[in-house]
Amino acid sequence: MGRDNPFQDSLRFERRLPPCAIAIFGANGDLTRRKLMPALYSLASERRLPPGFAAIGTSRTPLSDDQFREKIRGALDEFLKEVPLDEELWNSFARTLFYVAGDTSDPDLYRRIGEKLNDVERRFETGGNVLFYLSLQPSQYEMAAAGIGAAGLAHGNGWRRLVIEKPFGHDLASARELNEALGRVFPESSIYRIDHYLGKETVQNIFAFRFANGIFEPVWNRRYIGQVQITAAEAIGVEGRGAYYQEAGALRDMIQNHLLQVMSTIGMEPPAVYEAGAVRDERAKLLRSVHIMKPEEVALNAVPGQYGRARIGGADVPGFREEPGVQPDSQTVTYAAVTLFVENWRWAGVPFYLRTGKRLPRQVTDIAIHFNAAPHAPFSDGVSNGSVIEPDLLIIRIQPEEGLSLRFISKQPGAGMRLRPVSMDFDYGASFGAREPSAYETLLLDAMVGDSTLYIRQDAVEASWAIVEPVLQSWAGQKMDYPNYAAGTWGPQAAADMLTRRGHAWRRP
Amino acid sequence: MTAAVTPERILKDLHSLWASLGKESETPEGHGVLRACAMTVIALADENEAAAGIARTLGQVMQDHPNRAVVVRIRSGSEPFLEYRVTAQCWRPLGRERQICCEQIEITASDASLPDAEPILRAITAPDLPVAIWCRSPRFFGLPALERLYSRANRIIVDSRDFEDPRPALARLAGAAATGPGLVADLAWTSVTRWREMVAEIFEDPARRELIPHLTRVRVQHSADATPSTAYYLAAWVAAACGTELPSVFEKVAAVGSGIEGMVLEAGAQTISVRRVEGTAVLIEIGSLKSCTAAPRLSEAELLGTELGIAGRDPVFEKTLAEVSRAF
Repeated sequence: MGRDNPFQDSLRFERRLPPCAIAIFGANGDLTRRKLMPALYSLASERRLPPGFAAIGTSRTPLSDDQFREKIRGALDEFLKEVPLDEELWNSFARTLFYVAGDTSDPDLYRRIGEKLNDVERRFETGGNVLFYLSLQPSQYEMAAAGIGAAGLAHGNGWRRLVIEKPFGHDLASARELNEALGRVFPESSIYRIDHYLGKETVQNIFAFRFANGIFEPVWNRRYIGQVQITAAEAIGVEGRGAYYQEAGALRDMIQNHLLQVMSTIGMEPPAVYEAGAVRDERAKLLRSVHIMKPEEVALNAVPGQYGRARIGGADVPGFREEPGVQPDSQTVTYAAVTLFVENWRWAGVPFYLRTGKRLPRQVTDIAIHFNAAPHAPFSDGVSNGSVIEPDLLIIRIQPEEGLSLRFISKQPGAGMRLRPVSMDFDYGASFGAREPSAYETLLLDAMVGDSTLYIRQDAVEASWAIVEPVLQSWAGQKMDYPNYAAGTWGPQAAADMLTRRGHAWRRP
Repeated sequence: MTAAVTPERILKDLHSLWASLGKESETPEGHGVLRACAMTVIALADENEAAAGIARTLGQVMQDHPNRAVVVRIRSGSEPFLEYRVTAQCWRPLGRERQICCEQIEITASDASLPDAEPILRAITAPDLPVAIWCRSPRFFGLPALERLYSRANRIIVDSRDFEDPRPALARLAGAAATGPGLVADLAWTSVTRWREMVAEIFEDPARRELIPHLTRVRVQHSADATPSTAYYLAAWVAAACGTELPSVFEKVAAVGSGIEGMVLEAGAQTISVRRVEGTAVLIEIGSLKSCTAAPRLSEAELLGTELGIAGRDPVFEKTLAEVSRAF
């Protein structure tokens, strides 16, 4: 008999998942309640979890298995979206949940986790496969990984994998330190660094868009594209995360990870095959090709911002320094915009403008590809309605209303030749009505099945830190005159000036 | 009939429909309606079949597979009769401002007028997009009057559970799958996917795969009066997967659900059984090991939606269909 299962039908059956246990560190935390457990329950409701499955939660709070299950039930009541909570299914899901209380600094915690893992391996036939998920403060990653290693849990009857959440360090040196520490326990191939942006359907769709269509890739280069703008705007403020955010800031929180990953997906070369190694090689290569700013280049190519109070929709919105947990003289950036250049044949000279901020006018994440203007336009000013003929624009909308829009010039109906931009829209929801899995569902499944394509490799993490580090260092050495933009606006004037110097302007998403 | 039915008239009416939908939904925020179409689905149905049921199924399918739906209601008789109307099915996805609408064309034609309707149907399919034909009655499968329409179809969908005697019908399907222009799909086959998946999951364990060459018999249990096509499919699928001539037995048992009630794979004295025990619950027994799982019964819209989501060939189905026609 061959190794393959002759009854499998990859066209119609869900992807095969091996039996496994997931051990969640920080199981009493926000991420577990809001994202991980709703994702696991959604997978269970679609019968995508393997029959041999168990989840072991651990955190400092003393809880029994039943109390833990009760807490998770409460979290599902609150945060489960799009999938109904079914009593029968919940009862069966709850039976797979266990809890071990303890401090990550206590070696005995890992011994007891080991016992529990052995127990579920027997009872649920998990095959000894374990996914360790560190939903902890980043400062605890090294300690937890070392504890897992010291207790001999990094090896067992099946595979052992480690999932960690960003931030992966707070600068290049600490990222390297973390990578080395994790590497002492797990091989790089078993470390899964989550950037949930890469799990979003629309970000994955960039691959399909670029590499499954013949019409875009030939124009996907400096000859046809004049600039790229990547925007991740949030309308909300720090929402109770003031203390955390004060340490991180917009550049670390968004640009160093999410937006650089999106940029690498937009700019990477086509991989030979859609496989983890090939895709991650190309992403890392793109990041390594980004020009590292010299100290004197930072002021011209990076703009920090912090929002001040404003009145929006009849309500007073506090400034960042007035948020709970934030120091009144905080220098944290709640807005960051950078201009990056990729030093390779495809992108030489094309600016990539990345911006992110809190308390901007609306929540939107999109990528705008600005094509070069037609080399010669045989139309007079009168024909173009008195306005400059705008170059074509391709917008990849990541959230909300995922889809694509292509703006181009068209003739206005009627006598004579008068021009006007029009938009051709593709709406993801209109063409594919099925429920989109959440990024965490996708990424958890991938980790269980051992597919690291959408996870970030060590070299990409370090390349990303190398890109933002000169900016971080420059900003850390200055005392900024904050706030420099009002809540509900598109950021500081300096960000607009940064583009104006190159004859460009931010688009209004 | 007041005026000849032509593709131009139908398409003009569609244009007017979209114009009026656009006006109706105009709001100060300018959200409007979004016209969605990724394929054409032509449903062939008897005129006496409840139109509301077909519309409901198509409406559910549209939300996953937006399409131009063409419902052809066929009236028995030799009197010429041909008429049409155009409508739209609209919905607003949760949390979205904009309505999404798909167009629906309903054509009523008598048997005598089908040759006139056929070129119209070909002309009103959405350009450059796939065409699926859904035969809601066995009598429409391979209808000579619609032969050229069938040749335009990418996918022809039937439900062999509606066939009185499934064996000759499955043989016809196998013939069409082997030689026909479009890819044949059978909702009966779609309906047994969960059963097949449960069996496949059992053999995910490499140790259990050692048992496959030693299988001696497959028993398929059902609650229908005559052996249904789904039972033939399951038996043939197991045999085709094993690559051997595996004896099969069809057993009528008391109904717990409806249709397939269970499967038993025998390897000498060892048995692997998967059987419905209550509602959607299915009990899997492998020797002394017992576990429970769910096999919900899928609606017609879910079955149809699954088939519309498959764009290319389905090698497992084709192999099974060939095995059905060879073995039974």
